[in-house]
Amino acid sequence: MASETILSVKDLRVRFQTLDGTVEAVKGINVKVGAGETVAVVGESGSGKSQTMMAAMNLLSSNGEASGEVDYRGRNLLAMSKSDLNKVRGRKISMIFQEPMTSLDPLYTIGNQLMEPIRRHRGLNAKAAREEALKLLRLVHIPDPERRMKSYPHEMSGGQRQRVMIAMALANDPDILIADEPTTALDVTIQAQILMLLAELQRKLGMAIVFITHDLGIVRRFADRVYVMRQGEVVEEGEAEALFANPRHAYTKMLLAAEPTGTKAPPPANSPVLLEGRNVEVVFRIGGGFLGGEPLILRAVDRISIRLKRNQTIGIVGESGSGKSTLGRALLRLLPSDGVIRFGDRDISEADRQAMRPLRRELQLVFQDPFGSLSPRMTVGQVITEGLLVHEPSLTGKQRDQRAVEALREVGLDPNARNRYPHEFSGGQRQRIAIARAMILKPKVVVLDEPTSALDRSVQKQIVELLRKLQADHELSYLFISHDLAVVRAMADYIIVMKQGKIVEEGPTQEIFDNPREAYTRTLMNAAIDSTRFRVSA
Amino acid sequence: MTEIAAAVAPPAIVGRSAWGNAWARLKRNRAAMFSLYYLALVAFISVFGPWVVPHEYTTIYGDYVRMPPSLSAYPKPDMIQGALGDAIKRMRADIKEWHQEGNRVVVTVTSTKPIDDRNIRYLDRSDAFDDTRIENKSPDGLEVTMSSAVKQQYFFFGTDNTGRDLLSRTLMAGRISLAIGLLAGVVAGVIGVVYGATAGFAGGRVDEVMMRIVDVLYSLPFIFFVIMLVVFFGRNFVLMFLAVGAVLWLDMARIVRGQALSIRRQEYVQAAEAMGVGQRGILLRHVIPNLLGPVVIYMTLLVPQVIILESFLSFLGLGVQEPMTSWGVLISVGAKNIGYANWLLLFPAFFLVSTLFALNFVGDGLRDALDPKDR
Repeated sequence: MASETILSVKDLRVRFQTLDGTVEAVKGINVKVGAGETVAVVGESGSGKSQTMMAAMNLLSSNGEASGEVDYRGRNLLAMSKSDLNKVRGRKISMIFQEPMTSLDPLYTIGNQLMEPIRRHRGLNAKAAREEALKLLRLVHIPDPERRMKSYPHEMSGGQRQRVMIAMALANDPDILIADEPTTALDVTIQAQILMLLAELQRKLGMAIVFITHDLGIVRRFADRVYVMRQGEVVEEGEAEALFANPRHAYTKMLLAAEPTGTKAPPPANSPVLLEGRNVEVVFRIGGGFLGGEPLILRAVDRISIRLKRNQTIGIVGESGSGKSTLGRALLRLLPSDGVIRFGDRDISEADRQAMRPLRRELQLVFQDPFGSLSPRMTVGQVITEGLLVHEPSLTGKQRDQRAVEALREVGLDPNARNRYPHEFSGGQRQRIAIARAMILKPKVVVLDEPTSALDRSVQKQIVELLRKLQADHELSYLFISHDLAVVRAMADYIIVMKQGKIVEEGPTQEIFDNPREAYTRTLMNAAIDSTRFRVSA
Repeated sequence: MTEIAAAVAPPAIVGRSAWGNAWARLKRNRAAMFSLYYLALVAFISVFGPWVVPHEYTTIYGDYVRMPPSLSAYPKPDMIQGALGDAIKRMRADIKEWHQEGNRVVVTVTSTKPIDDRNIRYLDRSDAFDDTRIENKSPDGLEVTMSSAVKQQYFFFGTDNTGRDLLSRTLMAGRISLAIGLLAGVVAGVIGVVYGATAGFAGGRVDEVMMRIVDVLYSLPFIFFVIMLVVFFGRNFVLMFLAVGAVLWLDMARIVRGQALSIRRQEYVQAAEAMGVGQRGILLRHVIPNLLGPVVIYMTLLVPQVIILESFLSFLGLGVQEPMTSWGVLISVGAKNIGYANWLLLFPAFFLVSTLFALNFVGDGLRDALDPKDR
């Protein structure tokens, strides 16, 4: 694509002053964006991909500084005064962010928030701005735009909010749209819709898109050219198709191979059922009460039956709000539920806190967010051994320490880590710590609630391998909750697809993947695994 | 080389705790660190100063009423004659002649009646003189020459309406104000943390009832409450702590309750529950350590609040009693004398204001330092 270069980043460096001295987040990179082109900047967390664009837009946090050159049509953005920069920023170069929930002001209607930048930048009167805003909402396919103009952000779904954000970014006919992980916080089916919308808008409006993402699947389907970043440097760049067909740098190869592979064989037919739920039902009452009138009844889990055998992994798949996490917690009796739950040969449906306590060591839970699930004020050693305080109170401090060392070795961490605090570790290491915490008790059943969703692809693969190894070593049973079908395929031998609290479809993994019966399952699969390109190269 | 490196045992790795991080961040905040040192200084001189300064905070110097602050000693040369005249008048004698020799004053007095030797005590009684001796006496006893040392007195902050040294009174007042601030702050903090943590941790109906009680207490006017206490139990130092502490814990309870509610929903608490950790373990190991940050911050803002409240009560005359004093009392007195003795207001006000500023800076610094988002 031989179009005119409109944005060129030359030898950009970004430094941050931190407690541990100066950290160089971006180490002299060069990036070029041509008119109407889609450029993807790919890298894992901490590679400096976001900081590059933040520096270009002068949006670095206060302890950061940028040097080098960012030329937009021959003018250096880094050397511009604030008022000159504002004429470019938001007008010629606009941005959309990852989090559509927090990027909109909850106190103003969608219409208000759309009209304000239009009136300010173009000096239109209220009526003309309203027309323009309506036009934008139609452009991003918001249904019933007249009514939506009067809605508040909380009345819209995540996907619709991201559409509004895109409409806002397009309000002033930008030359370049910078999209910083615009689909990461969305469900897979919604992700596909948003990407489709971006591709369509680009065709219509002919702007350049800079796409910052960690997801190579998106890049493959979307980008013309790709920059692969690692530790603040561009390790490889090139045309998307050529790069995917023939990656040169080892890191790119590693990223491309990072999709979890392999499958899990089902357990022998005679292996005993460990955890069983029959007609499990979880109902939340929202509002109501003394003066609240009729409460809103939400059936988060609607009469679901499940049988988990020893050494089996059941994958529970569904979009956010489908009730899959609630089901996992109800089965561990962490939430009140109706129906029958049996563990081994005991009926635990009515067991209270006290009665559950001795069973807790055999029923463990690993959370999605490795940042939130470790107490920030405890050392890793204390975090891991807390369960031992409850279940093996006779151990001495030294024995507990010994067990912590073993557990850390088992999950592949340096035992020295036990004297440090969780915030000193990366996301993948923290997830290992969380797994060590569950494993130290030698459980029988582990509920894994999206254990890989917050992690980079290459780290996901390692965690998946670790979990499989632990399962083989200890004959564990997993309940693997995830929205990521690629990971589920590698982990589970049986799959349950959930939607709105109900089971849509269930069966052995291979069967479900080869021959999905329900339309919903097919949608999920297409969104996650399909690799057709959204965009025909110009 | 590698063998040597391998032979040396790796040093034990000690992680930097969340508190360690916060401390490092606080150390970078110059205003907060300066304030911290300043507070330490004020606390030090308030506690130990009254033993070192030359005057007791209760001693009344009748000859030095409302003396302006000065770095040189009293009496000033032009004041000696006046002081001498006053003392001699009390002897019922007349000054014939006086002159100064070094730091002694030699005075010759005459009278119509013989002068008793014991009369020299009138000179000693004056705040300006000391060590009076009779040098020479005429045979008829009608004329006496006495010499007396001039007593050097320093009043760096001047004196108040009754001739008490303002420096020692200001330091003494600092003791009281800081003690009230700290103790009432701790009282309010402890009640607030226990109450708020209980409400937040229990949740549900218990929380509802406990917080409504707080709302009811909020609606009582504070001054009315204190006046009632003072009327029933008389003015009492301990009562001051109780009154102030009993009112200010309400904010703390609300803050802590909100924090406890949110910590209870954190995943690490759920993880502990899933591991079978009991209520006590969760409260001790998870909720309270994670509450401490906001509590520490709010305490530094609570202490100045208490000091101001105490000052306000003392200003109204409901606070500490004479001769004991506090910054609030001194400022109240100073405000009445602002026209002709402004130092009575300036010195205590400077100490109070600068202490409050410092506490607020420290609180601000702590808030920034403990905010984990500021990484």
